[in-house]
Amino acid sequence: MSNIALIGEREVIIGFNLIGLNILPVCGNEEASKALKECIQQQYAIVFITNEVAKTMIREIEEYQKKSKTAICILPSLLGKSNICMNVLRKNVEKAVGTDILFRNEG
Amino acid sequence: MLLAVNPNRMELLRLKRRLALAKRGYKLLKDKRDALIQKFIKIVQENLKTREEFDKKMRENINLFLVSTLAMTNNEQNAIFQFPQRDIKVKVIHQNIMSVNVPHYEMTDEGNPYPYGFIQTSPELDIAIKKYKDLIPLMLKMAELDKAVLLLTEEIEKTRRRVNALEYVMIPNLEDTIKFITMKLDEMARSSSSALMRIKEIIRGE
Repeated sequence: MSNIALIGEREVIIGFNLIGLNILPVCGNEEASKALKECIQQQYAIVFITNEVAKTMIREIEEYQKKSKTAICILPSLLGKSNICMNVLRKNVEKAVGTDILFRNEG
Repeated sequence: MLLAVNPNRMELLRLKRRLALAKRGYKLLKDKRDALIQKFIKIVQENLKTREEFDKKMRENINLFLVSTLAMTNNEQNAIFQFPQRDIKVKVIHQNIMSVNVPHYEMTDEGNPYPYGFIQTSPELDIAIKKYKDLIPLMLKMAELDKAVLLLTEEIEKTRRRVNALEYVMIPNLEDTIKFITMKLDEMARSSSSALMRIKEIIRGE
């Protein structure tokens, strides 16, 4: 059993099953949060979550990121530019440095 | 703000010692904060770069993969994907960055990534799987950097609070109190010496 898990839509993540990651295909908010909870309880080293699934439960993810040792990593979106992981990153930078130095040049 | 202490020499000595300690701690913590922020920015930039790279590769890959699985029915897909023969494990090694324990992942993998018949499947699938396999180290790096960012953020916030508390509360309070006690002691010395002088005058008058 691998200690890396991948939560996401079935079509997107199923290929990773052959590579050796543990995949947890979900659809809908409830299934996703249940899967995440299970991953945390089973003490996976890393949990990857696709952008679209992470969108529905960003609060839970942040909570688990603070509480548990498991690294929860949000994968970049495959559709369009709306990236949750970037928002999380930006928020962290703002919290740490006091100002948004990452995206300053763009805006 | 003055601390609630008795204005005597004992307290004065104690406070002076505390002030020296606070100043030393302040300087150290300020250095720690600056170093942490420097590291943090480096990690964030690396994180961004890794994400961009992953994004690009994944976009190319997912198209290939979807095309290769498009013609299959669910059952066929299950037959291929349900029983992987490959296993990836990561070992977590903790690195110390400025007293923050940041995980570093080391991967070990074994097994055949292509546990299906090549007759029923398209060559695109093989290519896609191979590319997925090459993506894994990048994903691990991303997870590692994400966790590092998170941990460093917390540490920087904590350190900054401490630095600010020392700079704007603790040290001024101590300095005010020391000043108050010195003035009080001087005042007492003056009043006693003037009293002595007066007593001397009175005695001389008699």
